[in-house]
Amino acid sequence: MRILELALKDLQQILRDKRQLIFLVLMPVGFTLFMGIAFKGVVQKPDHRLPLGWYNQDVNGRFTEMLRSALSANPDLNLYTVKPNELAKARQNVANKYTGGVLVIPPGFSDSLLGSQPLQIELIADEYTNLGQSAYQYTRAAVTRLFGSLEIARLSTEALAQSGAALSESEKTALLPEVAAEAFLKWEQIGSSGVEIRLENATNLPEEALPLGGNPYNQTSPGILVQFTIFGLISSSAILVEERKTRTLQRLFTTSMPAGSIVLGHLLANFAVAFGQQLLLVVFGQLFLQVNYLREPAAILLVMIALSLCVSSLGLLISVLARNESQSLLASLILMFVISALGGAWFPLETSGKAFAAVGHLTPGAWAMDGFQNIIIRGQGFASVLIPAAVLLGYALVFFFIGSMRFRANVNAG
Amino acid sequence: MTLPAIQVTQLEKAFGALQAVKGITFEVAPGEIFSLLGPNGAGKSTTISIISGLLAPTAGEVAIFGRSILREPNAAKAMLGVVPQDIALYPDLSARENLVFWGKMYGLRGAELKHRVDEILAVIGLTDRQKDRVSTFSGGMKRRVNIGAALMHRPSVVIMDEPTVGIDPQSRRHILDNVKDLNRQGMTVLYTTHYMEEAAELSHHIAIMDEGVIVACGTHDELIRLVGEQTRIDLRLNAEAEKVMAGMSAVKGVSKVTSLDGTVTVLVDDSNRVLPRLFEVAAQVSVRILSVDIQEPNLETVFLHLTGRALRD
Repeated sequence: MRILELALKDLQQILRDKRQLIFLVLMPVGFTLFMGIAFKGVVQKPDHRLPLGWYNQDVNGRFTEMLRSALSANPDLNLYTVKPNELAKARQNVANKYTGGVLVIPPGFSDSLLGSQPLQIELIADEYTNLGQSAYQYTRAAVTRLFGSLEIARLSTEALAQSGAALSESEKTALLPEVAAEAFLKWEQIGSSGVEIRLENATNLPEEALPLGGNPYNQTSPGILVQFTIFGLISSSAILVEERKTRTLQRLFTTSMPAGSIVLGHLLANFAVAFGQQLLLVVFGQLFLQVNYLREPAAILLVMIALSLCVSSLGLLISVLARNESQSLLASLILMFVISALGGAWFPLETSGKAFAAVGHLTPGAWAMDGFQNIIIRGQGFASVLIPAAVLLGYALVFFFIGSMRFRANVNAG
Repeated sequence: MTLPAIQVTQLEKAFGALQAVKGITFEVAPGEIFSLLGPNGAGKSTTISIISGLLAPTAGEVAIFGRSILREPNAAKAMLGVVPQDIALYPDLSARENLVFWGKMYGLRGAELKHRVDEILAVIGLTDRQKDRVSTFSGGMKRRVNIGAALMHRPSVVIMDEPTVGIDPQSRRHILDNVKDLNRQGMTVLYTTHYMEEAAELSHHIAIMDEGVIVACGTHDELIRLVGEQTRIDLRLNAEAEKVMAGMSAVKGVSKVTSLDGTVTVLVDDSNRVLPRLFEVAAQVSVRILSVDIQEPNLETVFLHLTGRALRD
C-alpha cells in the first residue's frame, strides 16, 4: 500500500509541473506529425501511367469531349491538361522524355467531323522512343473508336433513310452526333461485358508490401513513441535525484518502509508515466493516423509493458548513478538520442544496412521498434513480439538489478 | 523492569580513516528529554543517523525500547519520529500534502490521517497556510513542518537533529515550546544541539560530545558540578592573545586559559582574587584589556573545562 502511495506522490509531483505536458504529450504528437510528413514521399505509390498532354482548342466540342473521355478512361494513361501558355513547356517535356506526348485538338474539330473535310489532330511525340510509340498507340486506339462510332452513326442514319424514314439532310446531320455518342457508349459497354484480357501491373504492389505498409506514420508513430518514452527518463530519474537533494529520501529510510519498497514505489511511478504516455500515443496513432496498433492488441500491450519496464528500470539506474540533476539530465538526453538513432526510431533499420542494424539491436529501442513494426507493418501475429518483449524484459531485469544494488550500496554508505 | 527508550552500546562509526564515533554508550529513559551537546563535527549527527537507522554502525548496538535497530529495523523505526537537520520536505507540495504523505508513509489512513493532519497543523501553527507550497515558506515555517511530519504517527521517541539551526528567534521559541509540550505528552525526546542554552532549558539529561566520544553525561546540575565553583572570565584584548596566555596560565587560581578571535577565556576559582593579577600580567607585556565579562559556571564552562576548547570552536 505504501508503495502505491509513494508512486502516487511521484506522479503528483511530475504531473503538477505543467511543462511536463509539453514533453509527455504535445512534443511527441507534434514530432509524429512532422516526421510523418517527412516520410510521406517514401510510401507514395509510383505512378507508372504514361503522361499524355491534352491541349484542346475545340472547347465544348462534342466529339472532342468523347475523345477526351476515351483517353481518360484508359488506365495506362495519365491525361493532363495543357494550357495555351504551357504548350512550349509541354513540347520541351516531350523532348526531355518526361511525357509521352501532347495531343493538340484544333479549333472546330468536332464540327469538321460532320462535314467531308475532318480536321487533323496532332500528336507531338518522339516516334523513335517507346514513350512516343506508346502515346501514338493509345491515341490511335481512342481516335479509331471515335471515328468508328461516327462511321457507325453515318451508316445507321443512311440505313434509316433508305428504310423509308422521311429524314431531311439537316435532320440527318442533327441525328448523327446522337447516334455516334450512342455507338461510342455501346463500344465501351461491349468492352466491359465481353471477353477481355486483364493486365496486372507487376509494379502495383499490395498495401503491406509497400514501404512502411503504405503509411508513413507506421514508422514515425512507434518511432516517436519509443523516443519520447525514453525522453521520459528525464522526469522519472529526476524525482529520485531530487529526493536525495532535498533529503526526503533519507527521511523515507527513517520510516519503517523497507528500502526495497521505496525502490518499487519509485519504479511504479516511472512505469506509470512511461506506460501512460505510450497509451496516449498509441490511441492517437490508431484514431488519427490510421496506424493499426489494434490489429493485435495483446501483442502491442505486451511490447508496451516490456518497454515501460525497461525504461523505468533504466530511469532508476540513472537516478542512482547520477550525483545531481545535471548528470541525470545529461545521461537521459544522451541515452535518448543514442537509443533512438541506433534503434530505428528515426528511420527504418532495414534501410540502414546489416551492420548498422546489428549494432542498433544492441539497444532496447531496436527491439521495441521490432515489436511494434512486426504488428503494424509486417502484419505478423502475437508470436512475433515474444522475442522483442523478452529482450526488453531482459534489459529491464539487468537495469533493475544494477540499479537496486547501487541503491542499497548508497543506503548503506549513508 | 522498564526498558530504556534508547540504549546505545559501544557505538562506533568510521568513514574510511576517519573515526566519527568512538565507542559511545548511553541510555535515554522513557519520557525524558536527552540532549547531545557538542560543537560541529563532534559526532552528534552521525550518532543520530545510526540511531535512526540511516547509517549502519561499524560496531556497537542501538535498541529502541529493546528492539535492535540493526536486527529489527522496521519494528524499531515504527517507534521513532525523526526530525532531520535539513528540511526534508517536498517543496512543490503544500504543507498539508507533505503531512498527508508522511502520515501515509507512517501507516496512517482515512479519517485518522485527516484528523492527525489537522491536529499537527494546529500544533505547528500553520493551519492558515496549510494549502501553500512549502517552497513559499520562511525558514522557520519550514522547520515547523519538518517537525510536524515526524510527529504524524505519535512516535514513542522523537529524535531531533539541531532543529533550530538558522531560524528566527520567534520560530526557535515556538519549536522549543513544542518540544516541551511533546515531552509533557509522554514522548521521549533525543535532541542534538550546539546551543548550550537550549540543552540547559530543555534537557533532563545531557551528554557532552567531542571528537566522537562522550566527555561527560548527567543532569545539568551534575555537569556544572564537574567544574566546581569555577568562574569563567572572558577578556577582550587590544593585542594578540598569545602574548598573555602563558603569563595568565601561571597565575595561582587559574585552571585553564584558551583564546578565540582576540578574546582570552580564563577559568578561575575566585574571580575577585584572580582578576587583578590578570590585569598585571597584561600590563607587564603592554597589552590593554578592553573589556571583562565574568560568567557563573554553565555548560560552556563545563565544555571548556573538559576539552580545553569553547563550544563555538
